[in-house]
Amino acid sequence: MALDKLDQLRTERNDTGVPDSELSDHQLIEATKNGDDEAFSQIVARYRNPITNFLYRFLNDYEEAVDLSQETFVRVYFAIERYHTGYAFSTYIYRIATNLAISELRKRKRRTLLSLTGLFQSDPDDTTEFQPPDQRPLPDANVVEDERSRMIANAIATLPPKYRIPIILRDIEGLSYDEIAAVLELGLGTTKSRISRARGLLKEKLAHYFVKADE
Amino acid sequence: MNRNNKEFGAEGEDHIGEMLAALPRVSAPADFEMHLKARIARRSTPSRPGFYSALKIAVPASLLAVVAGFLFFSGVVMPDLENVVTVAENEAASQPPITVSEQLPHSDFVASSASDPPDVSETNRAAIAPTPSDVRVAARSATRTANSPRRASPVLLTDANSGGGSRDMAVRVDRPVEQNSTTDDPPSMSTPDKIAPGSEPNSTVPVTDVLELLGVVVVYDGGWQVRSVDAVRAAARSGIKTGDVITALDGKQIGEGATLAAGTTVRTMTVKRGETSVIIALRN
Repeated sequence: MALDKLDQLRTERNDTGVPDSELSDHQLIEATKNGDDEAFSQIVARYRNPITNFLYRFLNDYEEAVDLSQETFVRVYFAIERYHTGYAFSTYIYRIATNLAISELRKRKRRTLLSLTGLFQSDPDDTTEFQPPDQRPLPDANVVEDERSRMIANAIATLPPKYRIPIILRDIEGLSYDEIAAVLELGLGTTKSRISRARGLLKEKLAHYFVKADE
Repeated sequence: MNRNNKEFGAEGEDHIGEMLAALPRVSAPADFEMHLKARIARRSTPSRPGFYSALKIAVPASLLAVVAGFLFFSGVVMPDLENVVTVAENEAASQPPITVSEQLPHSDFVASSASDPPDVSETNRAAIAPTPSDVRVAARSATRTANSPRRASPVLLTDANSGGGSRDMAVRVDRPVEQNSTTDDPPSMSTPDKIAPGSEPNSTVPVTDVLELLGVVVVYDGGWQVRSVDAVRAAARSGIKTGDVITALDGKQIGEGATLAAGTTVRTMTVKRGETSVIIALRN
């Protein structure tokens, strides 16, 4: 029965001449529900980079980000029957990724507590100031840019998760305030407030850095 | 560096957004989808129940069985008196009867069946030592006080058949206890001298001896008040406790000096505990 539907769907798509890349997220989801693995591959191709980038900026660990990004798509695949098209798929998948990332942070915290060496490590979630930069002269512009990116990434990583997530979604992933509010299941005012607060915290951290660097 | 200072001026917060947007984006690796499909395939395959999954069930079940067995045999979950009372009538019908009888202390060592004559000489008795349990019962009998309502003749429990079985079962009287013994008689192991000559099939047994066979030591105080309970006898297993007042056996009132016919089967015991009178089914 599912194969019949799949064939029918493919036939309809061929008839309309619309390639997978032009179908909406919801159409691809429906096709995936009917057993079309190509449609799911299209969803993966569409969201793997944004989700990986979001998780990387949140966790500041590329390997972990890739792993959780794959886990996000696995969750989507096995829960696809329960997905409702009442809201945007991007909201749905970012919410899954966010929950996985928060769980990962908790695991890290437990591992840190259990580790003997963790007694001497700083909490990745604390808001203490990071180390001042290396004050040696920088060789060229690329290195300066790399250093600048690394410094910003570290500053983001020191933000508490409740500020880190919305500012990444807003300023790095480019989601709207409404979408972010839907992802975090918060009110619009709270979402805006947190983003503003996150920017203020980052400003303080980075201002301290640049003042130090300028002296 | 001056540019940096400028960025964090009055419009610093706006520039924060621009700086974040300008961060280089990372991409998923080229083999992302391949690994993803492999991960989905692994999740799709139902895991077979293996050795460790069986252990998850077997280990807790074994521990539970061990704990339950320990509690059962340690008596923690033995039914209390109230529970026994509620089912007393039903249990009375299902329990094997307890036959009350007496036998001379040495006769079980020389007679393998109840019909054997109690022709026991001192030599025979000396040659066959009593078991520790017999000695214990005899010693307890020997410590009775002179005003004890028990007769002077000691009563020993013996196994009915040499093949085994509960000590409380199928003990019978081969000879009647001498009824004329005085309470001043020194408590000692019975000898043939103290046995009334001749076996009488319809002889009687004092109720105190019957109760002792069941495992309680009693004194009469308007009723047979339990002074101690032998933990391994039927009375203890049935829930009789020190302080209970036994008023009847099998519904028959037992007063001071009451006797039962030898070979009587006792199924129930009426006990007064505090203000409550209950009927207890005796357990072997």
